Amino acid sequence: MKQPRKEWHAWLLTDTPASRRQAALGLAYRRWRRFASNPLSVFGLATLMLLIVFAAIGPLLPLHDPLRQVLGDRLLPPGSPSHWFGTDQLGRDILARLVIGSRLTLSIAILVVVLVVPVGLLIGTTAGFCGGFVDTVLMRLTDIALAFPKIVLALAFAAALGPGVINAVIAISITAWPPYARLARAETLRLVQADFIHVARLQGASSMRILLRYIVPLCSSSVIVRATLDMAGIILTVAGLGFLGLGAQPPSPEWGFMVASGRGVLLDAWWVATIPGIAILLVSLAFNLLGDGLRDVFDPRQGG
Amino acid sequence: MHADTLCEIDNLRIAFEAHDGTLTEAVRGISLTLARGERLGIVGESGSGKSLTGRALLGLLPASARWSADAMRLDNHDLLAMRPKERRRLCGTQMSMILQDPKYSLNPVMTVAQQMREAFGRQSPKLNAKAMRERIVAALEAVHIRDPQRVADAYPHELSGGMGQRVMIAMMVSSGPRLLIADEPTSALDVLVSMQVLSVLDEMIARHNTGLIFISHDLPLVMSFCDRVLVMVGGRVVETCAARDLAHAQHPYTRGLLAASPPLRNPPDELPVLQRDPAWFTEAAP
Amino acid sequence: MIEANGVQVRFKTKTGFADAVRSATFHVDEGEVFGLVGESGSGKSTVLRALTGLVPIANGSMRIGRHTLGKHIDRAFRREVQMVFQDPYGSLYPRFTVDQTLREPLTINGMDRHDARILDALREVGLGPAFRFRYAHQLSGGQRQRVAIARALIVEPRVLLLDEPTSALDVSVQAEILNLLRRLHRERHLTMILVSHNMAVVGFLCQRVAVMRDGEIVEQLPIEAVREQNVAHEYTRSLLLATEGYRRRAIDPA
Repeated sequence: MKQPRKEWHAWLLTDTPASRRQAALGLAYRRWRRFASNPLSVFGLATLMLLIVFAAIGPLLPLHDPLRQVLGDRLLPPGSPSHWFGTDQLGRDILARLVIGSRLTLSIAILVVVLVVPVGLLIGTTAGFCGGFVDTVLMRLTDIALAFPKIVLALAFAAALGPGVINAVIAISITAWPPYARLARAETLRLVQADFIHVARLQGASSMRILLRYIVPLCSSSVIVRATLDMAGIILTVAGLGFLGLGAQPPSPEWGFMVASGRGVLLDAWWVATIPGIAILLVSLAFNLLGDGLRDVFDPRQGG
Repeated sequence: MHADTLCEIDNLRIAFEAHDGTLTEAVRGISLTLARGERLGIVGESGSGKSLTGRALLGLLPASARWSADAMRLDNHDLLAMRPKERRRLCGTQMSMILQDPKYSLNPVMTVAQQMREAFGRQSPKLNAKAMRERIVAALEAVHIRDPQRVADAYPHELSGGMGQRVMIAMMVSSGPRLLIADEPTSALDVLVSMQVLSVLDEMIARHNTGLIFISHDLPLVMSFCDRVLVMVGGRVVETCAARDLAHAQHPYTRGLLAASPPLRNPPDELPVLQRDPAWFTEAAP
Repeated sequence: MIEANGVQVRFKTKTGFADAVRSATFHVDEGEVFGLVGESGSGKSTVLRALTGLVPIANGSMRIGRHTLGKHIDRAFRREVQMVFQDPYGSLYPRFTVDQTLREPLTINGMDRHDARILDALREVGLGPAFRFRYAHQLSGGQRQRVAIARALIVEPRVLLLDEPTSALDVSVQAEILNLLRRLHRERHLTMILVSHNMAVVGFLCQRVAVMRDGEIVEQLPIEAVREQNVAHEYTRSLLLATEGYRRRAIDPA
């Protein structure tokens, strides 16, 4: 099997690519090699892939029903024959709740990022590119949004609209986009001075073309790296809201809520709160490691 | 080592390790000697390894560099056998370096006087504040700065390029080191300002009989400033001769480099293009 | 072909205004190569940028062909005037392959036969089709400048402005680029303005030279006068002397 692999290798890494596709694939391959040379980043990526797989196929796995209460099996310790991670105080299987809960955690985090990143990117690049009055207005808007504390806002939303996942997502999103806008604006201000932008103007490119085709792609890498690193924080915030009872509502197996509900039996049945806590820790760590790895790959000093 | 020899390097090799372990050789067996008070020019294009050679002498190579040498001596000190601490003590007192762009080589958050105080404080730790200030002002006057008091209290970003280089020279050369390594000292400066800075440098090293290694990509400039010239390509020295004999250089690379600069009088219709012989980059050192 | 009359360019600074160019008057005939020599801060690059419309003119007027530089720059002007910048590492967009870099001006200006024009442009600057799909960071400095020149010429301009095109390159690479520029000038009958701090480079390519200092043109003269050292202004003379290398002389205090 060595021969075909060597051929692919040479094809991807050739310094005279014969088509745009070959050049793009070669660049992606080089970036992957750089990423993979750091074992920690690969660990982060692997953990997240595992999480995604479990979240996706969770309902199809032969697990217990996460919502089914078997009061006779309350507080079984981990390692029990039919409940590998034990049960909580209502007899519900913790492993099943963990796997199904991962769907919630992941969807909330992804939803937030999908809302927040494009908005921040657009506002930041527009502010940096247009300058003047537009810049001032957009940045003051950003300052206002930055002034709201996440949890307090979530509390306000919960009070006004009732607790729930959607409201939690909205509350987090409103306060999460300003750093991306600032980051994008800082990058844009730097890029606007670059010669290749002057060249684009000289060629007759419209401002919209310059903004969308040149500036936004270059800002995207640092924004994406930042978003990956922030995911950890977002997950913790979601868990925090769940802990306060403001996120997913019972009997939803949201991880933060699981930690909160395990508080009461922490001394006797440590696993009820600790196991979801370890899951939160692991996923946050994985996102952090992935973000670090991505940042090294996209470091402009190394031709990323 | 001959009594008159100031510095000696024998078979210096420098390679860089990539993150997957492969070694790329940057300097492949350089040997040179420098007499006291002599001016040696090292000329090469980018990637020839000339800057690395200067930095190896001072121990300033990056962490990913793997280097070795058969011998590396300054005066009677064996630089290879010295502990890093002793070697650091030599830097700034016996050997100094001035770099290309004073914007990047001067500390931007300290005034000129503060930086010079740090530099001089190592050699003369016993000076009190007033005496140190006088030394600083005297050093700035020696490089012909018109208003030394004002410049001493200025920050580097307030100085022009030429002024910044004069400050560098004042810091690095006024204490009279035995050896000065100048790495492209005028490349970032305008042509008239470079001439001024070179005059100042000329005067300072003549005064202290400092040996000079002048690293540059500008062959005509090195020819006019130095006594002897080394031409480097692909990490090896391909030509060594006295500066005045360079016009009759032997090696095709040197001849090509000389011919590539457009002459002001009677320029040819087409400039002769340097033909790069791949053997220069791959052959093992003789 | 090109005319500048009393051009003044001002920049706003924290304390008021700064004149990068005080009053520049010169003209360039069609097919001529005109040199602008000076040190940094002399305003030579600013004059070039004013000619492209990238920088607004505070006073005076500039004309290229039939276009007078003013508030509005039309597309036709963009096709007639192109520029090559100094820094080969900053003028190519890092995410584009060479192919995309050359295609972009063709797309913006609605020109036809993209592939054919791209291959022709690459051949003309001495880069083979093997370079077509490389990214900018996979090219050497000299190769990047060739791509920059190909990009400028692919829209078939009549005027080519060059801002220190070889200052960041090794001497041997500079020789290749200068040869290339000379050949292109002859083959395409371009009108060129070359900005440089190096008298010898200007002497190789240009027919007439203007020397700038502190935002003003101190002398304009034909290149033969420069070669014979028949110059009037002492600043020009000192620039010429400096090209001959270092000479031990009296030191001016700074």
